[in-house]
Amino acid sequence: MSATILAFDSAGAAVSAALCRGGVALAARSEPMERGHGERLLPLLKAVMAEAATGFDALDAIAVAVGPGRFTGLRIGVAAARGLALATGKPAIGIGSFEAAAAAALAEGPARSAILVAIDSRREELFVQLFDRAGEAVGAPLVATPDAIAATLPAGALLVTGDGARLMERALAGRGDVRILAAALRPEILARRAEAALRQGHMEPARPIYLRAPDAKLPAPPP
Amino acid sequence: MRVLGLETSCDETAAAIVDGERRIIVDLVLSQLDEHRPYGGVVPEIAARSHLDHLDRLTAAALRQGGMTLGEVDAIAATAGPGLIGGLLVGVTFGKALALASGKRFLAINHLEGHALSPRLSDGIAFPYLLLLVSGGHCQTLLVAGIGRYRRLGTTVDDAAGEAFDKGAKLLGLGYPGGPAIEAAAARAEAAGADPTQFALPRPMLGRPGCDFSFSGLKTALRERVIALGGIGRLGEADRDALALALQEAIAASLADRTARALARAQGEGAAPTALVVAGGVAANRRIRASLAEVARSAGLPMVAPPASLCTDNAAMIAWAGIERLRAGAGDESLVAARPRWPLDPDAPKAVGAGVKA
Repeated sequence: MSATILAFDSAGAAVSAALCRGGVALAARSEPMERGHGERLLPLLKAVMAEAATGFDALDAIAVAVGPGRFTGLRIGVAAARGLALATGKPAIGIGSFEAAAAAALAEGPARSAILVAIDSRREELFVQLFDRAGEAVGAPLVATPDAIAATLPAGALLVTGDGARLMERALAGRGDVRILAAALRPEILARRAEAALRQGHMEPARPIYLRAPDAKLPAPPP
Repeated sequence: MRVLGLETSCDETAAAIVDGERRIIVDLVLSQLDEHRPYGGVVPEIAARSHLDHLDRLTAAALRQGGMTLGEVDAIAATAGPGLIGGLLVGVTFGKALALASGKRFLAINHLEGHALSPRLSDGIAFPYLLLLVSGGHCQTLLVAGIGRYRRLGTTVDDAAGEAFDKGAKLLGLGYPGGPAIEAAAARAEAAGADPTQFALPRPMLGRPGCDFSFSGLKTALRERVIALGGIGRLGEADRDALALALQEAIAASLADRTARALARAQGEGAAPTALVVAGGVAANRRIRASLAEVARSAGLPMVAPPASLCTDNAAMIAWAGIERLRAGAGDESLVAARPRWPLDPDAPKAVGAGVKA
């Protein structure tokens, strides 16, 4: 049986949403934006539900990209997902943006090498994680500068994807077999992974993956 | 009529259900105090993360304890400003999602309007009335003439009164939050017979024209006295407590003077306030309450102070503001965005240095 899933992503430089059945989008919208994700996400969700002529009571689950990404965008996505989950009684399933980006790259065609997912953190450091050619995570997520990341990578061919892939280009210039792939993270990818999670009975509520502690300094002890 | 209210503008996550008969059906508040305490103040990013972690469970608990489903409320009202944008976005987005999936109206509530209308929930008082809103984030006097009819008479030009307590407590080494710590220290000093005038702390704005507040000079004066007495963290207990008493007296005198002026101005301009309403966390301070009661008595008005649960940040007042606005004809506000600055009286002049507190 194929699940009906409302999937969306507001963690990067766009807001994207799709109403999917069996991993296929019945309606999809995407708007590139640098700011204002909070104002556009709910209207976009309303629009895809209307276009697919589907009521919220027909949903089996909500799928949301949980980052890493922009803190505010992540929270907007997860807050919306949890609100929809409470109102519908259906689970809000969080899909990590690294695994989603790796899956998006593989959806373009089989990989012949390891996959490095790089996500723009809008600072000097990037969020990255390494996957094997089948899309299984190899290492732990990392927050580091492009040069520091390059120093940790194994030798051999590499496929670099994610919205921060271009930011790795210079640091990887000395390597031979590097391919940069700009693969759009379509919400269908999130829906497919959520459907798989749903079948396995995975019901952890969606929560953001920040990978960075809040900027806050503990006060100095009195002199 | 029943409204579900959500509040996430600062460091309390709150959900409540209120009905049109002024009944608070359920009122849940989750304080983040312990998460922020080590930093000596509210850290916006920590606050935003915490609101998101807890808001859905708290809302589910409110519905469960209220014995109803989302289908049985008429609208969802969330604080959309003013406040810390990270938390506001969590509450507004969550509330809009609830409304969208349940087919309910969404109401974007001004947090200050929640405070302004709270005495009508607790005490059912009639318009117009003069409101003194004193908290860690706000310090202003407003003439509340009706729903959506607010005229700001005075505001702080720098710190809020609650900030004066917090920063004062920090200087005195009394910890965070400062209000209760200063009040307790002042009580010890009073019991020990300390003279509240011995340090000659200034009484900010006393007797000055206009109704505005200012507390940064008081903070500077306090710092000077602390340094003269040995420095931050090196005060003797008696000096520390006596300074806390002097600080509390100065803040109380300043609030009373400015509020009396606002009241006189409102009355002079032909308004006939039915009461002096004191709301906000600082209103919990007994010394301040007593001096404001004296101001009301001199003006021949009752002083109304909503209960503490409605004075600190809460969602019952947000739900109630939703009810009042629905009755006044408000429609769905799903397209209204969260905003960190949102003055209740958009016509009031900008107060330099007060930021969102104005």
